[in-house]
Amino acid sequence: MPKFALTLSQFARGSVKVYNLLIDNIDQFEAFEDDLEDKYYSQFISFAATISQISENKKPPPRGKRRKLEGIDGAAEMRSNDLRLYYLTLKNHGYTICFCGYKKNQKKDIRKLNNLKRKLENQILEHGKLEIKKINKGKSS
Amino acid sequence: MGNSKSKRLTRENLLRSSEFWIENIRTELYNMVQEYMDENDLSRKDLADELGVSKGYISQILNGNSDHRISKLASLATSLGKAPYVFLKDLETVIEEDKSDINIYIDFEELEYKAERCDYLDRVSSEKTEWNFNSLRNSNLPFDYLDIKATWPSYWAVEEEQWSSSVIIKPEINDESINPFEENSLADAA
Repeated sequence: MPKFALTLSQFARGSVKVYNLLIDNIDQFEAFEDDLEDKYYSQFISFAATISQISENKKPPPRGKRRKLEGIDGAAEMRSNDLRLYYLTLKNHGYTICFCGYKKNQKKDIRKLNNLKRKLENQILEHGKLEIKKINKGKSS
Repeated sequence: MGNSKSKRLTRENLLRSSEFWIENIRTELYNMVQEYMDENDLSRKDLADELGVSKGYISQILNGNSDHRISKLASLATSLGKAPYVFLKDLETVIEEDKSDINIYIDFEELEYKAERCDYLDRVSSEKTEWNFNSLRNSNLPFDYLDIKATWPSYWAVEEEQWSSSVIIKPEINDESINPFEENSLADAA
């Protein structure tokens, strides 16, 4: 059984908390970035910009850029041309960025998100609130 | 900043990217148009007809996919009854402010509200210092004024007390020598 924890997104500085999901101490958002091809990088930056806006309660455009995922309570995806970012609104945990994926794998990733949500909720049920880890991320380039 | 990935994206590099600011402009535009539609109870088609643009153009804005020509942006703004100012702020200052946890987003409505209130203020006092808003009001330095307003919410906690049209402003900054109502004092501090 994987162990889940959270870490505050470095792009979220506002009052609305946005966390990255850690699975066995691996930050899923960063893991995706590590394997990302250069040609998709500007789309990834746009995700980070939107995370920053959400954290500041700036209301980025709801249509086109984001949509709720039907059939999965509290789940949504952020969209760019080729990339998808999947996140959950878990009770008492703010927004939780679960992972990113490619548009071409969307169906598979939505199923993956559904399974992940069940496991996350089980862990919360059994062990209480998810641990929030402080990870020292480089402040400068 | 180019778009090639050599290492992990940091908050600082996010702020250095054009994508970050493009997304902000798109969001501001979206909120402006959405607010106008809500206030006037307009559909996308109604708004398109009123502005003389295509429905697709309105959809682009509401979907956050717009990439405006300056002429189209100005035309949209004036059609909505807004004057489209452009304000450019020094990026290094913004990055330093962000590192100090000063909010880099400008709430224009809040600034407008506070600017209006300034016009009614004759006296301002804090526990240690008094500043006269008249000097600010009579200033012929609009961009300094704007800069002060832009940084005001981050630097100051404002507590309104209804006595003789005054507002108590308590400094929240550590360096008490900084007086934001003196010309260039913020720039010197930065």
